[in-house]
Amino acid sequence: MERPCGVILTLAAVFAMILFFGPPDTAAADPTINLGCAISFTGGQSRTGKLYRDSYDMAVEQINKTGGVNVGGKRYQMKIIYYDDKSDPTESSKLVEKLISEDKVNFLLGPYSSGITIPDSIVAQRYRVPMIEGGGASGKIFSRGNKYIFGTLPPAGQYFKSTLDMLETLKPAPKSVAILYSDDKFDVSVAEGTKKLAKGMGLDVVLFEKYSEGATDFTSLLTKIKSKNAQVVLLSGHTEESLNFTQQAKELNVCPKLIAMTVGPSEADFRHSLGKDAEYIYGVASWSTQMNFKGLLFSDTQQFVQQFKAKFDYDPDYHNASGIADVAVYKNAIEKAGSLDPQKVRDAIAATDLNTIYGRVQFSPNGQIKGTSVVLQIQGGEIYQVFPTGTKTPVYPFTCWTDR
Amino acid sequence: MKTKTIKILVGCGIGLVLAGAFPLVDNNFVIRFGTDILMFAVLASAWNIIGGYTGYASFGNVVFFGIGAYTTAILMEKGGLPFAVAYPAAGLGAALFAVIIGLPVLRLRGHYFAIATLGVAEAMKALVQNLEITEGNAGIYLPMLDLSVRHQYWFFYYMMLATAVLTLLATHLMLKAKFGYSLIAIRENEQAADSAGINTTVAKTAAFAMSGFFTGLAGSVYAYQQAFIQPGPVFSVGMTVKMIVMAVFGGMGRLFGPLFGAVSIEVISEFLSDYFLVAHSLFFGALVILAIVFTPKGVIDMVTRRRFGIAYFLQNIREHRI
Repeated sequence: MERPCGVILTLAAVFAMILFFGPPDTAAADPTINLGCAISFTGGQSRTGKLYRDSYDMAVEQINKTGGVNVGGKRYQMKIIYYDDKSDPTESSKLVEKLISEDKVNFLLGPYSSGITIPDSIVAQRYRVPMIEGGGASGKIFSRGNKYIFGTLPPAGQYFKSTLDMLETLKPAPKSVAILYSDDKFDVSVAEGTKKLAKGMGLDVVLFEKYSEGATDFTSLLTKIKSKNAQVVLLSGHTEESLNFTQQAKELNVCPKLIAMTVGPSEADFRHSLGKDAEYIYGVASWSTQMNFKGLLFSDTQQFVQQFKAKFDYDPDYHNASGIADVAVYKNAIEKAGSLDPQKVRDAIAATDLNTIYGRVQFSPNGQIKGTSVVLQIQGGEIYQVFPTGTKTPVYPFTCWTDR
Repeated sequence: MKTKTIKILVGCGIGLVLAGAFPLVDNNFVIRFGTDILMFAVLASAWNIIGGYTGYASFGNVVFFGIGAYTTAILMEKGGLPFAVAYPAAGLGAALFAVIIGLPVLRLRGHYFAIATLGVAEAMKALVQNLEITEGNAGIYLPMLDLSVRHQYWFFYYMMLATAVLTLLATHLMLKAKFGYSLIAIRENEQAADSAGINTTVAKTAAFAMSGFFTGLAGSVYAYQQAFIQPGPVFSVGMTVKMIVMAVFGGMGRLFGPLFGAVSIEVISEFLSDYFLVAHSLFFGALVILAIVFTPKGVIDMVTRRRFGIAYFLQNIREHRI
């Protein structure tokens, strides 16, 4: 037979323990702005989670070294309270709850990956505490009119915007575009966004075709490109597919005036295995270590890259840069608001127009950063930024395979 | 016997009053934490029906949780129905699925059953990831409850508490009825139960459906509280493992065992995560291993028999030949 009395007494003891340990310590005397962050230390997302933590830590350290945050004439130090979300959205949203109601943090920094960011952002919305996140790009995060979430990864649909903008500056400007894309979520969003943008700019989308992820045979797609006489080919896929596409385009001698790819050109492997066939292919990136932006916390991107490498012993990528921008936006917004009131700071964040080492940060009304991707091109076996500004000018039109 | 019944009733009453008064604490996180504990109490208790009493170790019980969560999301978001409709529908949907899946799968025993249920859960995840109506892998939002934060958490807490009470009450009534004895007979010796005139197929399927029903209800409340769900997390194998660990830790085949397991495991894991940012999983794993080695009948056995000494541990080890 069951003897539940013992169980219930133990239960009561456990609850009493929670209550006893529950209340947070009283605040320290130093004025501190506490940022709360539930992010992956363990579990599937922990590798990328570390990139964000490194950046958040580095940015906060830099702020505290250079005089802290000036709130209405008073100097505050910044501090981050971390919890491990175990890469689990349920755990993460529970911890955000803890950060707000137990640790009484002033503001929130986001976790990594869109799936974890959404439940977290819902908690932030319930409490009306702003959250700036650098690790979720899905449009879904910003689709429900949540006023308290801000993201610094650009929307997938805007990925090719800079490339399309560049087309107008070329002489003679191309008129017809072919869009090819892999069938995974991200590439589908890229392709659909690009199609919409291209049509809005009066370009003729002559081909809009999906292929299955990991496809190796592009001959039928290339034949279509040839027969439709597309001048510009935009490919949204993965490195392997970009490689196969280029090789087969050469074999079939399909020679549009411009080829641009989302993934591939910026990778050294891609350039080495294709050799001179990789020449003049365009790429896009939201951020690269080659860029040079003047920044709020670090004097410019190059100085940041050096300092980062010295500290952590690896090359920063766009995750890191995005994380730096998150903290920089907080410093700027809090100083502009002159207050720690969540509502005022939220409004200041929404009105952000800030230069960071990540680029210029401005938010769309839905809270996501306005797309800032740049155009890259392979020239002489190296990748250079060519648009909107850059170390080299774009080479156009594309020199045909046989004429090299 | 009479005094014992009174004692049990008084115990349950005190427990209920304590649990009911719990959300009066002025800390939303603690309320939410309580809700999570109750959710796992429901999940582990529901698993106990099929895994503990019937002896069929289901490794795919999370499928009912996911179905409950997605039924709620689709009915509320796409169908515009209120939670009052979505909640029972989630339980019934999961129970129906349990019947459909149970008829073929419950013919398997032991490892084969475990693997088959695991497969069912994974297949369901893949299906939900690719369906249009579930919005695929990107996840689906639910409408938010239009109340103040505190009232929202009260609502979810009491819904979960009601679900937990319902689960335990139903299990208790089941154990008193012939049905409960049929299940235990199946666990002890299925062939003997069959020859004694028990319709084992019906009994097993009913137990599976009951387990699915309560798991689905928990999934429904969970989805409404999260206000956003994704196939990966709500169909994760890790969730099933957690249910099983809690049931085993607390005491399999005991009414209050899984509840006890859920409370202790959640509280221990929370404290460990608080003090050790990264190493918490290591300590936690070690603790579970120790508990299984020294108290294979569950911690509840130790508590109800008021045996804490080394002699008890050694006896356990001897009995189970570890």
